[in-house]
Amino acid sequence: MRLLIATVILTLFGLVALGYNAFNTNLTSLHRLNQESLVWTSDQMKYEMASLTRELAKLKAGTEGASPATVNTRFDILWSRVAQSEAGSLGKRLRAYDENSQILPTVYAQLRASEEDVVSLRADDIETIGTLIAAFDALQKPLFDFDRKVFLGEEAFVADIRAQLWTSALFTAIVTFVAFALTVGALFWVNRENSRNKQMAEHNLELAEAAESANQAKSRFLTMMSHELRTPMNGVLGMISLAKQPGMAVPQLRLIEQAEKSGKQMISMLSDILDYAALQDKEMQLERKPFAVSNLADAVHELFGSVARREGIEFNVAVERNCPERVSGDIRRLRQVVAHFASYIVEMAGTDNVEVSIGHHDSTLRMAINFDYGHGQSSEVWHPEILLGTNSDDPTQFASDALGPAVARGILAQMGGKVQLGHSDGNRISVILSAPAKVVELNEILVHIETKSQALRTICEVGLSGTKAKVVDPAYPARVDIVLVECGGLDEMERVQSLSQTYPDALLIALGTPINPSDFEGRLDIPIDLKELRASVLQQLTG
Amino acid sequence: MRTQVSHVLMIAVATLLTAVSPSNAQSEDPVFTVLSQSDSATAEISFSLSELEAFPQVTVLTENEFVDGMTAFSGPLARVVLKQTNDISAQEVKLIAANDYHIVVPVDDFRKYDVILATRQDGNLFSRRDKGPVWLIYPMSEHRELRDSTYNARLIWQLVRMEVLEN
Repeated sequence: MRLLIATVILTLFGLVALGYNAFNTNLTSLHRLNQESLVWTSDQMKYEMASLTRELAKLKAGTEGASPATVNTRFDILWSRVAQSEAGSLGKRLRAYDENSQILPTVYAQLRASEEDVVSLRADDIETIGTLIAAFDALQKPLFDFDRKVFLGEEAFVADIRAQLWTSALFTAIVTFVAFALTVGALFWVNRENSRNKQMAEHNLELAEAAESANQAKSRFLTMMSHELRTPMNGVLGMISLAKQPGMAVPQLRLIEQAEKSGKQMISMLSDILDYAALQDKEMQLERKPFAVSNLADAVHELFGSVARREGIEFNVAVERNCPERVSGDIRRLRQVVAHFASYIVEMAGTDNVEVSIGHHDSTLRMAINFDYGHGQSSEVWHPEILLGTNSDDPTQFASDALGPAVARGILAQMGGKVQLGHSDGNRISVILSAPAKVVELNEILVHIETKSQALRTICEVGLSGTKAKVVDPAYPARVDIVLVECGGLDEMERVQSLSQTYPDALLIALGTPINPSDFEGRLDIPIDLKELRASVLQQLTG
Repeated sequence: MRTQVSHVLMIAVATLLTAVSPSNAQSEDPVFTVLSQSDSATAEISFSLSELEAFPQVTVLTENEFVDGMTAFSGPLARVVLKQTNDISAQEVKLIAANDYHIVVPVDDFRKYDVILATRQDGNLFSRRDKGPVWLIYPMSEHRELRDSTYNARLIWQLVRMEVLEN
């Protein structure tokens, strides 16, 4: 629409330019017309013819002052007037008017014929004078008619030019006005469109802000409800745990164990809801610390090994041969991601074997969960469309109805990773979870011991001597890989927070019982078992 | 001051129209008179053709509505001839032709432009039956502002007399 308006306006301005050009041309013609002394020249011919005839009459009458010389003067002047028709633009236009009448050549012929008589004229040669008078007198009427013709012709010509001038001026004015009106209209329309677009943008911004507020409110509600529900659920689990007594009848024990399992599932679901809310609010904090890939494999196996055995599912976790020993990432969240998808597969796929393969390529950690589906009792649950959605090649549709995989997708997305599906012949599916994870090469492990107890420090130093671990001075070294933190005291949480900020890439291992175990990657009881100390430190990074 | 001629274009003029009558032959008879009248004195100076041609000649290459194409006119500068009257305060002059036709021209024209009292066209003396003895020529082709009906009317030919008007 804007292009059309612009085209129309440009065309109109083009017409304005043409109109102005035509106006200018006509004005120049009119101006040039005034320059030419056409009417004056034709009038001069008529006048000088009359003057010559009059002078001849005065000479014939013997009037004082009249003489052959004065007659010759008038003759020369008349000749010069007629001669004007032979040259210049003025002469050309005079000849144009004379095209039919041919009066000018007639006058000129008479002048030539009379030249000898005029030049040799005597005052007493009355007969010659009379002949000359008659000859020139006869030309007065034709010259008069010619003069009138020129006058009327020029009048008409000027009127015509003026009419054209008026027409081109009017046309130019109209087109200019239309172009101006269209331009103003277009500006008005554009302004209105801009205002409307601005209003729409403001309205959309309001809607977006409202949606964001609603989303945040929803997330806060989810978080609040999850916390509120977790407390009584923990209470219920506690009561159930107390209700399990040794020597209880098997059926009762089964009921209690089932209740306990359901309760734990509920707690797990509430944690997922909290994680989901944190992802929505972009408040989930991810770590990036070195860890051993084998530790991830062990953690996944530990999580599902017993469950899979109980369900009669063959479950294996393997690390590929070319996978590096250590990579950098959030091992806890990666374990959670694999757990969510593996849990879903175990529950829904009707599979009898699940294989998790962990590899690394091009700075990306790749965890593939391979399984066959369709085994088991209910064909409705294990139909591939339920697993894969309507488009079996669209990874976003895999397990799209489950909370756990949704949380896992969100965590992977925040890491910069993704979910892919591999579908081979038969019923074999691969769910491939990939996340960025740089390779970490370490020749020595730098350890910082955070304790006020010199004895404890000494024990740790002795325990780590002779290993790849090197205890470093806490005076802000450039790099620390592990921090051993003595737990206890009122300022424990404050110290842990400070250490996390000071050494963001370091693993924290608690010495003693921490207030908040989730802040630590490992824990050692006090008194310290040196073997455990070495294993814990070295295993965290070397595997 | 002489106007330099860049290139003279020879226009074929009907020889019969420029036939030289016996009265137009170069002679000592006065052909042009300049009259200056003031409270204190009257000066009337007549020039013959040879006297006019004794002034430094200036050639003006121009076209106008009375000639075909660019034409070379030559003659003395009007301001030089007017100076002969010693009338330094002249504002206007009255130019009179042989048939008593006259116009008034501002003297500023002579100061501002190389207006000449042309006696020749393309090297040929004017005859009385053409524009002779003198044709007042403006350098129209050199100055765009001169291409106007006002200056067209000042191209007076068969000029015989110039009278300095009292201020």
